[in-house]
Amino acid sequence: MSAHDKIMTITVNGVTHTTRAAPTTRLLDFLREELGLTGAKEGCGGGECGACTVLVDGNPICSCLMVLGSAAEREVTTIEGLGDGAGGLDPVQRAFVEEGAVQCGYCTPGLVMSARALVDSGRELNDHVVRTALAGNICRCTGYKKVVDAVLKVAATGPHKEQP
Amino acid sequence: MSGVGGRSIRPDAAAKVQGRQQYVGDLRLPGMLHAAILASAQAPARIRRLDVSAARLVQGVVDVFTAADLGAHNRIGIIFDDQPLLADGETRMVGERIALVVAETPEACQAGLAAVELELEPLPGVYDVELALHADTPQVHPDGNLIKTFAVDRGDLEAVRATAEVVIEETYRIGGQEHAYLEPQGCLAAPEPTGGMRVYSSTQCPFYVRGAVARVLGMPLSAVRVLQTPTGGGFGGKEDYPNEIAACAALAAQRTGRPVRLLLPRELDFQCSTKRHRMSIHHRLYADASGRVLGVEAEVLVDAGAYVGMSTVVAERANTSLVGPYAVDNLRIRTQVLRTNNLFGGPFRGFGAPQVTVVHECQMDRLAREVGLTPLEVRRKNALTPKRAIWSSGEEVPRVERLGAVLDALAESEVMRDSPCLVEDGGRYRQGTGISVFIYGCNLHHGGQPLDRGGALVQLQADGSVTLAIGVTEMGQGALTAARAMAASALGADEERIHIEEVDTALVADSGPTVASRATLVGGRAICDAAEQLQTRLRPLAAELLGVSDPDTVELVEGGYQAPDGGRRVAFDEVVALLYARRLNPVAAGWYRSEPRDYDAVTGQGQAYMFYSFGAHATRVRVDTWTGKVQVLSIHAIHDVGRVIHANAIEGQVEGGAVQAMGWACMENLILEKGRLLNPSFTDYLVPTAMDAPTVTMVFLEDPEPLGPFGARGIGEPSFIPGGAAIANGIATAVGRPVTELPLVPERVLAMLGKE
Amino acid sequence: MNDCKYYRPNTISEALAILSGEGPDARPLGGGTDLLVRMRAGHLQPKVLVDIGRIGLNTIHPAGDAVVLGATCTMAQIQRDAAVVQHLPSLVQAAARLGAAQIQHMATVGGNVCNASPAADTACALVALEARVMLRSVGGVRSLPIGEFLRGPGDTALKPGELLEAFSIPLAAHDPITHQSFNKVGGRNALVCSLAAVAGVTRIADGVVMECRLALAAVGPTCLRPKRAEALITGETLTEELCRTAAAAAAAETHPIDDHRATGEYRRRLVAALVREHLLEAMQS
Repeated sequence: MSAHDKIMTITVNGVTHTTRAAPTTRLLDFLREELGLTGAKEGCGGGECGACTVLVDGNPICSCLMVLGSAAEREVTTIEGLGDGAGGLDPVQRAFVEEGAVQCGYCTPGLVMSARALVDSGRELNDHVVRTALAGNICRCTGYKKVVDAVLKVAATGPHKEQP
Repeated sequence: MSGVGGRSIRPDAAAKVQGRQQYVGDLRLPGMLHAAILASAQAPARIRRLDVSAARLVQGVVDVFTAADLGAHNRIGIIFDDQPLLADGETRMVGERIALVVAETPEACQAGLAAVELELEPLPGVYDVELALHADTPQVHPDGNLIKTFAVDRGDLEAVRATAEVVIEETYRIGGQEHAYLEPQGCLAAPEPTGGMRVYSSTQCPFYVRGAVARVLGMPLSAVRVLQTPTGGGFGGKEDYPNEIAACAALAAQRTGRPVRLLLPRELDFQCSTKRHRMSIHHRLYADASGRVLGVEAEVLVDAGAYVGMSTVVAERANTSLVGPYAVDNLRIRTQVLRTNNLFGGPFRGFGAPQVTVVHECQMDRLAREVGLTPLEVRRKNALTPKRAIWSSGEEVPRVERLGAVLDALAESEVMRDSPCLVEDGGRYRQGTGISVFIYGCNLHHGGQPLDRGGALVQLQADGSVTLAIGVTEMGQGALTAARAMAASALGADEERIHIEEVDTALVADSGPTVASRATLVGGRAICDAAEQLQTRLRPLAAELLGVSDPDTVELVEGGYQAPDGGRRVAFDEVVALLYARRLNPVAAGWYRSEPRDYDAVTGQGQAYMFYSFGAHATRVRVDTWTGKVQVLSIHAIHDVGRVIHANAIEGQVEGGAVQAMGWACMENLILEKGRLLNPSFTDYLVPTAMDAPTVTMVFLEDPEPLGPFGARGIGEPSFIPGGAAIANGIATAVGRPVTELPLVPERVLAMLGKE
Repeated sequence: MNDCKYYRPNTISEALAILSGEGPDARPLGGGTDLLVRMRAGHLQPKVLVDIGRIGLNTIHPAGDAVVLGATCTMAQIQRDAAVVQHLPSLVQAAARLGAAQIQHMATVGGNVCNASPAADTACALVALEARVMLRSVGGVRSLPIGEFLRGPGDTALKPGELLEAFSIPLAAHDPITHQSFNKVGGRNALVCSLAAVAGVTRIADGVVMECRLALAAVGPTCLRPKRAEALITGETLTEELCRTAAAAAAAETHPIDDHRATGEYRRRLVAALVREHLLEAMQS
């Protein structure tokens, strides 16, 4: 019943890890410090900026507000889990690059994860739907236009993860 | 197409979308310690008691530093020597550093902070800049509450005051702004085995950081090496403030002998880092009945906070720019930089110009209404023209017909065809169009000339690829992208194989700060200088390979060189290979330095800026008269940029600047109580989300600037400057009431509408 | 936070046993979007966290002429559930306006209600819907109208050792003529705390108001029902003028405070605007 002082397992980017980290460890800190996956960023620590966004069972969440115990035995996907792991980009990543939706890049991993989840949802996308889905990711640099264009481009050209 | 004017992929995009980019918070070094700041929660206050002995004993804490540990080195003011690094005996601003805790883990840091024994005795403070100079107002600082006054005096304002038929008088209270870069302030400092200090800093100016660290540590500049880490946004907030963070980290690193990383938690960053200045501006516009402006008189009060920082420099631009892009012969402007115990005023995109632009543009709209002209007509009537080209600084603005072109483009924008004011939905919603026009002094003001130089180091590799180091920083705006494009065009090299990284003070000499929209200018000119030097070695070799006798007749084309007969070409790679075969020097150090110019800082007369650019916004807003909520529907931006260096990057700047300006104008409210920020988080300091951003369209007028690289004028700040003013005018038009305060949050707009 | 004990029970009974055993210093953890924020700010320092994410409280099912909404249903789930979408559109609207996407995948309806912020969005909708809260402890079950459950800012009728298990939300027998809505006003369009919010459930037949339930958020210590305003229009034929009068009456029943977000006076005007908007929509639908 008690989860403290126990070994927990958590699957991150398809790899299952076991850990003795405290279950109250923030998922963000677990990913960054224990697993060295520093793609997810701390922008505010309060769920208000989205820079820490990762997917848990396919859903975008703020990893600064989720504790390890809640994420244990679930499937976490971080920015490092997109693409082919050898520099080949995921279609969402590629669209961001091609549309010029990246400036300082600090919000980018979180934004890409939210966009990835949106595309995977299979919903019909338009400007309003995309902006609503990305409203939890603050970007101070781009003004959002090229970000929205990038996501709509993925939707138009086919969102499948495997692309030649 | 690559090179200048193209749309190449930015060099760091792939790393960023994969989460591989390493910001300072992602860096780890063996033996690294963590630092945290104990900041004052009230100010002004006397430090009655400060005891860190218990904190030093906390498990995991390595040391705790206070002013007592710094002695004479406890100085951090960037221009004026008025500011301690750690508060000494008293604190003058909420968020001022009182102690620096260094520990093995972030948790131990927090425990250390909690164990510091601090007693503050509050003192009476100054929280209203309009009262800063009143007789019985406390002195914020021994140096007094008035830091400096700037003036513009031209013509005979007294005569105009006496005879003007129309007077538009108003006091505008313009709120400040938090940069809200997504990456909070941070620095990692590591002592070098040889005794120096290596500093990894999220900064817009590694050279400032180097100077501050050397000063606090008592080291020569050559012993301090600063590497700019990929910087997650700056907007001016990382121009000078990183000095303070870096000095703390470096101090701790020096004293402990170990690397120390200091990252500001977001709440503390909100409270203590620099902010756009709040300004109170009493403005009188004197005109004749036809709407011709005869004179402008204004007192500008700049709320600097407790320490000067860079407030005088911001105030100087505000002072010079207050009159706007108009030909006004009689001016009396006084800009005072004043201390209060409020937030730390500092650089922020626009640097004083956005605030005065709101004022001059609101006043022009009110003049229009008063004399029965449209907003565009009153601006045409008063705009600088080739016949009336003298600006507030008394100089003749060069190529001022570009302002006419901006006004023409404004007149042609689609939104100008709509009725300026539209009532919808039975009266609940009201739409309004607002315009704003501005003149922008490019690069640093005359006062900044000692800083206006920059370097570039270009190394041609044997395979034709290029290693490039520049002195201007990338913070998202595309400085690296533009530099690469310019280097490709200047060398004829393949843009994709030009490698460029963040700034390293060991590679490039002091190039000043990346501010004032000068990255393209300084980077480009230095790159072009280096390229010219290399061309003196490459051209003869190209000529040789082409069988052409006169190297000067060889043409530079994309990817290489061409013989004058337009026929034969030789690839850049081939020419470089020959350079290497001949063992000629493949490296050039380029340098840019602005030409000296005349200017009298006391009268504000002379050549204030290197050159000028113009621009405008035409903005459509919708006001909900039941709630006061404003939706900015569209912004059409017109910018006289000289030359588009990189199409995608410039669009990104204009889109981002417009939305950031909208945030400032409509929703970003710094709520203070006795100097303490009541909303130091994104919960209640609201920046625009994707659902708030308007449609942004743009037009670029390309009339090359002779002094700009490839003719470019810069865009970083122009993309922000007109935003707030056009929104203010749109709201004023929609509701039929004047705007006098920013931000125009819903409650304020509803109050403007009056009781219904 | 590492000093905090953490449990993750697998059943309701386990959870209740822990809560009862650990006493008042133990807090249930749902999505964490309020609890962890308040802990980081130092406003709350529970010694024990009981993660109730896996004890099966995340279901939505019909029960007679009501919908039973499990306490750990998230905002995202609420927006996707066919029955909720069909019968409780005001609740869906509230869930859609809470925070933004990430928060919506984490925040639970039970957490939103138990946190008892006067500005809580789904609590507001549930008050207008006259939901009942189902509370369970080792001692048994009880249920309360939500209006009695919410007592003040951060204060509910939850007893020590008790867990909010589910909401029972009555469905109108025939609701084509019921207009439901939820709307809030904040300083921007998303990810924002309400300066004021209004949920309304208004049933009109032949132009006459059969029933009107309004819930007003962020304008008093708890979400409140403006009973006098509701009485003013019940049984009347709705006109534009009556909408305006009733809205003003509703605003007059509020007790909003001045705080750093807004003045009380402004919040009252927002309530009037939102109530008027709801009633006009009801009239036109």
